[in-house]
Amino acid sequence: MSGLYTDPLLTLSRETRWARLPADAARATAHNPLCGDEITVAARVLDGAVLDLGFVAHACAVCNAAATAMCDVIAGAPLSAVDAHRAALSRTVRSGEAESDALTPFAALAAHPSRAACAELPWKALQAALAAPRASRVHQSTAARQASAQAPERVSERAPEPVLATLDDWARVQRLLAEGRRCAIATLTAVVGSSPCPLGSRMIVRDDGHFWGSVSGGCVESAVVQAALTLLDDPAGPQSASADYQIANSQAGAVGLPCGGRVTVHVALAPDIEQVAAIRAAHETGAVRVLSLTDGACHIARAGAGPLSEAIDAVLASERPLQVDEPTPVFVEPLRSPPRLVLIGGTHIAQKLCRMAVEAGFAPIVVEPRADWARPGRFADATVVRERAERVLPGLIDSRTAVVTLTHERLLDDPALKVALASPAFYIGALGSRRTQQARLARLADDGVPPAQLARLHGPAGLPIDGKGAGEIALSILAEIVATRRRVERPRRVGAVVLAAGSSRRAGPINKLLHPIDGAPMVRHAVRAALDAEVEPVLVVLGHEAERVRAALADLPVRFVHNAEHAAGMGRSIACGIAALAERTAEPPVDAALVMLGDMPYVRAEDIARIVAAHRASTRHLIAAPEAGEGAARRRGNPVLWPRRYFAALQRLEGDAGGRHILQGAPGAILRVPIDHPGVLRDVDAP
Amino acid sequence: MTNMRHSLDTGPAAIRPPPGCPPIDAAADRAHFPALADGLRYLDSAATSLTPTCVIDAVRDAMLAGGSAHRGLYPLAQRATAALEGARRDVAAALGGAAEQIVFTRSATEGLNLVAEGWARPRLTAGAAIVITRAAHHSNLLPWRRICRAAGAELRIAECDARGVLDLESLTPLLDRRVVAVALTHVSNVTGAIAPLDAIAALRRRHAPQAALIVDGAQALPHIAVHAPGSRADFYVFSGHKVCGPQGIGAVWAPVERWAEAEPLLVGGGAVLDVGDGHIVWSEGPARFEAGTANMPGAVGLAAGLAFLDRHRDTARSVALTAALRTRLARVPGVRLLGDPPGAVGAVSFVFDGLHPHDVGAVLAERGVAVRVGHHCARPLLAHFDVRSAIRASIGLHTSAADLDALVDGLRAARELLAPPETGRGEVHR
Repeated sequence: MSGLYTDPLLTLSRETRWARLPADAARATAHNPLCGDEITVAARVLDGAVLDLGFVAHACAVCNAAATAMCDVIAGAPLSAVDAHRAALSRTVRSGEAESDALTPFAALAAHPSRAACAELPWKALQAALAAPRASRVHQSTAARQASAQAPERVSERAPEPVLATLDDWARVQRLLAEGRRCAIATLTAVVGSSPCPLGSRMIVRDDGHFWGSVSGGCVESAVVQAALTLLDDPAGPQSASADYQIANSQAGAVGLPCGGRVTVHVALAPDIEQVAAIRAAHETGAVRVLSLTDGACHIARAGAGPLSEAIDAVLASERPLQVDEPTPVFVEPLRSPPRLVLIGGTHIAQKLCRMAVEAGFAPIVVEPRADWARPGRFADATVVRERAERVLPGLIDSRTAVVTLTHERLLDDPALKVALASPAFYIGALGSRRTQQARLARLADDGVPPAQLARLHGPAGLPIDGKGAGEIALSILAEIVATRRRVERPRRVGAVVLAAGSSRRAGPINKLLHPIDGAPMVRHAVRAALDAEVEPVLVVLGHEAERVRAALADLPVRFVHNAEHAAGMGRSIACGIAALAERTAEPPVDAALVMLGDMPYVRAEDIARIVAAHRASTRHLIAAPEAGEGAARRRGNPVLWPRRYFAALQRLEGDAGGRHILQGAPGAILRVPIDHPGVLRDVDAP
Repeated sequence: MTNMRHSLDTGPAAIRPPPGCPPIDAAADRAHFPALADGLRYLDSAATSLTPTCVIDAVRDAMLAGGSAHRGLYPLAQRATAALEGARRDVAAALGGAAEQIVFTRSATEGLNLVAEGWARPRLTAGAAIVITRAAHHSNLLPWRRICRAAGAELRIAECDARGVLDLESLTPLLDRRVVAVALTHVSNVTGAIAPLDAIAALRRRHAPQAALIVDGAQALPHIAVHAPGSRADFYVFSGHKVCGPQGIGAVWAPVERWAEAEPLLVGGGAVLDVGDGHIVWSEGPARFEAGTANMPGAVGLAAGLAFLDRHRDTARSVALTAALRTRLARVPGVRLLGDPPGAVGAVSFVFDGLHPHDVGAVLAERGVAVRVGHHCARPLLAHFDVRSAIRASIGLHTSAADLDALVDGLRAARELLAPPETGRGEVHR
């Protein structure tokens, strides 16, 4: 085998210079199922020559090397040369004599004829890509279009949407009820893993099976409709039902969806029409809807006191829904008016942008003082304000507003921008070429706009997609607005509570936390692992021999809290630590806490990082716990990551139990993180 | 002082079978298999089992005798018929059943297609459902997908957990009154996980008593003696070349009541007693499903293979050997095993940090170690473990400690040859 896997071949197989797929290129994929080789090649052709090409391969070293060699020789070559180069490779591979220096590594394949197919695979993909019909070269999505044109596994009816005047969910429910129809509302209340629809997504199901909205990429909808119809068909029976569904990978993969998670969908009969009207009204003032997962009833709540106050605050602040399990399971959804998109100038692009913005969940407002551009009927979904922008903008803009100037008239754009750049709007964009932007920035600077404000201007507005025409430009601007909005959200903050109060009665007279392991006191290892995993803040709970333990950690950037009741057991130490962590109001609040045991020195920083990463990747409500061990001895370990909503329960812990009972009571809320190292498993104390 | 163990050393280097189990001396077993004569280390029994001499002899004798079963009155044909039907009885007996419960097919793939098209499709309506699992081989996935698509029925997939074990909690909500059939894999060809048939049958009884249990037993029979009537399966499907028989033959076991409800996959000569312009009189019994000339030598070989297995198969030994294989592999730096099902039997699949399975397989092949690389016709299960292709080693009756040594040495050699010079922790290969 060393004859085949020479250094030149292996080095070539590791090259990455062509390992990407150029955009706007024809592409094709070739497979060699016998060995699991799969390669996608993309090539851009212009005037009969291959301008640029590249590949993505999940393949053996021979295939990778051959792909790099192919790109080296084909890039810039005329199309007519492709066949000749492929033939040269084939001859080299069969005869064992290299026809050129570049083909030398492949001559050894003559002794391994079964590997010839691996070397030819990239060429097979390239020639398929070049042979593809003209239309697909430009749109390069034939495979995707074919996949989506396949009949779905289960066919459900979908009511046709009216072209204009898209109704939001509650408006639709109100209209259905007003028409004398009955309907049910399905809400996505929990997600484990990935799902194409965010938490809180809804479907509205009419009593005859027509439905609007979605809770998945299409594989779960029919089951939800059935569940809704079951409720609707029996008005005297249960008013709600909740069920878990698996997002089907096999169907999802065919259309390129990032599916594969598990979702919980709660279906409930719609409230009566007065309540729906109240819910719609509550959107204007900012409130939440509390949906009972036991009986489907709901009520509107605002910030204030009560057992749900913390959850309500969290939902209002984050604009994301939240499931709360105590005292009874409820789903808390934000009711807020949609964020605004203020368009300065009633242009053609503004028309397109208005319609798209509504679909993306924004409320568009067009500010246009000129009569022709502001004629009624030009903007079906937007509010039109016939005024000069600088007069009305202060009243329109808040922190959830995006502003875009589209007029190309500096006398209209500039004053609007000056107001917008000084406002709390999260996105300010201006249309126009780069040269126009330079001039604009210079003018605004001359007018006294400070550099910090000028830095907030997105110009030319829109993501760089080379859009042509009003529709594509509008799309690029909307995309940039959404991207900016999402980037502003704060990533989750995870802190750690290290239990070093040493109150275990089983341990005996020696304080094992200070026992040296690998040259350092035992407790230091756990603390270091948390610090190395960049968990912050790290809070150490002291108790037994507090001064000695503190001294052992004095040089580390941790905070200490003393648990006066440490003799009562671990529960009080956890409660103490969590209380201290939750109470720090000066900095951004902690979203989750790792409870680490000071006497587990073999937990590694990478294990902690893995637990935190799993938490960050999933819905924010799951407890994350490591799992390790082989076969029958596989079990849950420590540290356990507790999201904020469990802080109240943790602060009520007593005795020596730790969080075990909470874990036992919530098996569906635990995300198991496999760790291939026994350091996360606790061993029995021994004197 | 804590007694924390520092390493993953979970057993001694030598293979130690559980107490009461015969020692793993494979020399006697090796003698049965001519393919091993030149020292081949064969670790791909999950793809196809090597054929022992006695089975080769049985097939040869059948062909020397000749004749076409169910096609003639003269003594030669009668002997062929007797050979075929005798093989049917023997195959049935090996599974604890009766002759009329066995239908011969070309393979397990054909058997699953037969059950899907012949039994399930006629009773599948829009709104009905079929339940399969993530561990399904493509042959236990595609037939169901096809008939669901044609009928507008729903295909539901029960998931596995991180160990590769069927997650009963994910299966339960999929079972309801709409389910027509549940298609399971008895033993996975990727992880060796054994499906808990009893527990699944209990769930079926409680939530979906109308659903049929269809079991793909291709990878189970080489290691486990299956009593089909007691297994709760409505259809038990398997193939010959995995149970020391020849290729080109397989069988499906089902109670006669199930066969009475089913239609044949292939229709033609031998499946009918009479055909006229307006009528068909179907043959009785298994013949209805065996149109075309029977593969009599194949059936004889299948019966001989099952008989050979019956004499030499030892489930405890298989489990111990598979566990030993897992342990040895897990100790090779850079190996990531796919799944970790308790009590696994047969196959162990893994990826080797940074190296593509094809390259590793090629190095092993040159050293005389035969393993399988690729997607093992189980893309969904590999996707569950987040890989695109993997290396699979699987044990057979002839597997010995020396075979495992050769595999591990080969992996080390592959790494030395193929790994990039700045090897640290390479990215897991996808």
